[in-house]
Amino acid sequence: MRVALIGSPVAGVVGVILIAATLATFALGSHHHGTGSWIVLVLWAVALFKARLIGMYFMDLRTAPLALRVCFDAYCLVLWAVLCGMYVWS
Amino acid sequence: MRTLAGQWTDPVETPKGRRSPGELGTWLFLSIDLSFFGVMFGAFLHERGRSAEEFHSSARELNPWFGLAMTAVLITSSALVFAALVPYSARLRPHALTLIDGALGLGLVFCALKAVEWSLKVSAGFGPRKNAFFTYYFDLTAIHLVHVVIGLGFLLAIRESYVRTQRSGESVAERDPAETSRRAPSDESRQALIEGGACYWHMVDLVWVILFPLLYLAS
Repeated sequence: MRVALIGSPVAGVVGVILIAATLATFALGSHHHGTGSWIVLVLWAVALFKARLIGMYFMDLRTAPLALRVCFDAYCLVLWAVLCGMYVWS
Repeated sequence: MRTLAGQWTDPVETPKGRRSPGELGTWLFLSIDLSFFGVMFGAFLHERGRSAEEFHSSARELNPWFGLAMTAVLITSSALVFAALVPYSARLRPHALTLIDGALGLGLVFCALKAVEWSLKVSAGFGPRKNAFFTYYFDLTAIHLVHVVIGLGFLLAIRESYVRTQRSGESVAERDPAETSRRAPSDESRQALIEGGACYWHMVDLVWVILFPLLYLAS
């Protein structure tokens, strides 16, 4: 399977998933107008999922040494926890 | 293509052992940059906690369609840069020039969209001094835009490197191993530029996918 336009199936598949996730968050986020909503926690989760996808596939971290991957995953996890925590308790 | 391990692989090449994408210095720099943005996101939410209503009403003055368009533009640009590289290496594909040009063009489109959005906000009376939300909005997006411009510089350097290699009659993707070892020093710096520059551009994309919901959707 090869996407002729860009020559890389990984770029095509990951790009489509990222765009689809962006459209989903846009549809979800642009129609809620309250503060303190659980929807925001979902928005952060999707955003960090997208960030991890970019790191693992576009930045080739999935083939990197374990230490580098663990650091990146820890960054995503901590950032998600901090964003959610600060949003909920602020 | 999907392997038994459940990971997508490119049929051009498969990974041969673990390798770091880019040099240690590149990752140190990227981790410092990502940590800096993490602190900025935290500061934004801290300030939001102090004046939630103001942030809520101010965020509604932003047009989320701008944010959506800029996200789509950066993701596509990042995908083009990824597609320009041979997987698991710091080498460019034979048709990389078109892909890098596309990524550069989309990067410029992002800058243009940001400029239009800023000018619309300022002309409508929502400048950086309007309130804390708009101060953070302009600060965060300006810092990110500086990163975009630096990333465009890296892409231009990668493009120049590719063109120079093509001019010298060498195929970047199909170089003779003996020739590669003779030219190792220049190749190493060129590969560091290609991998480091590409990783930097992906980091710019990564930061924006968090900034988009933070500013446009969740405030």
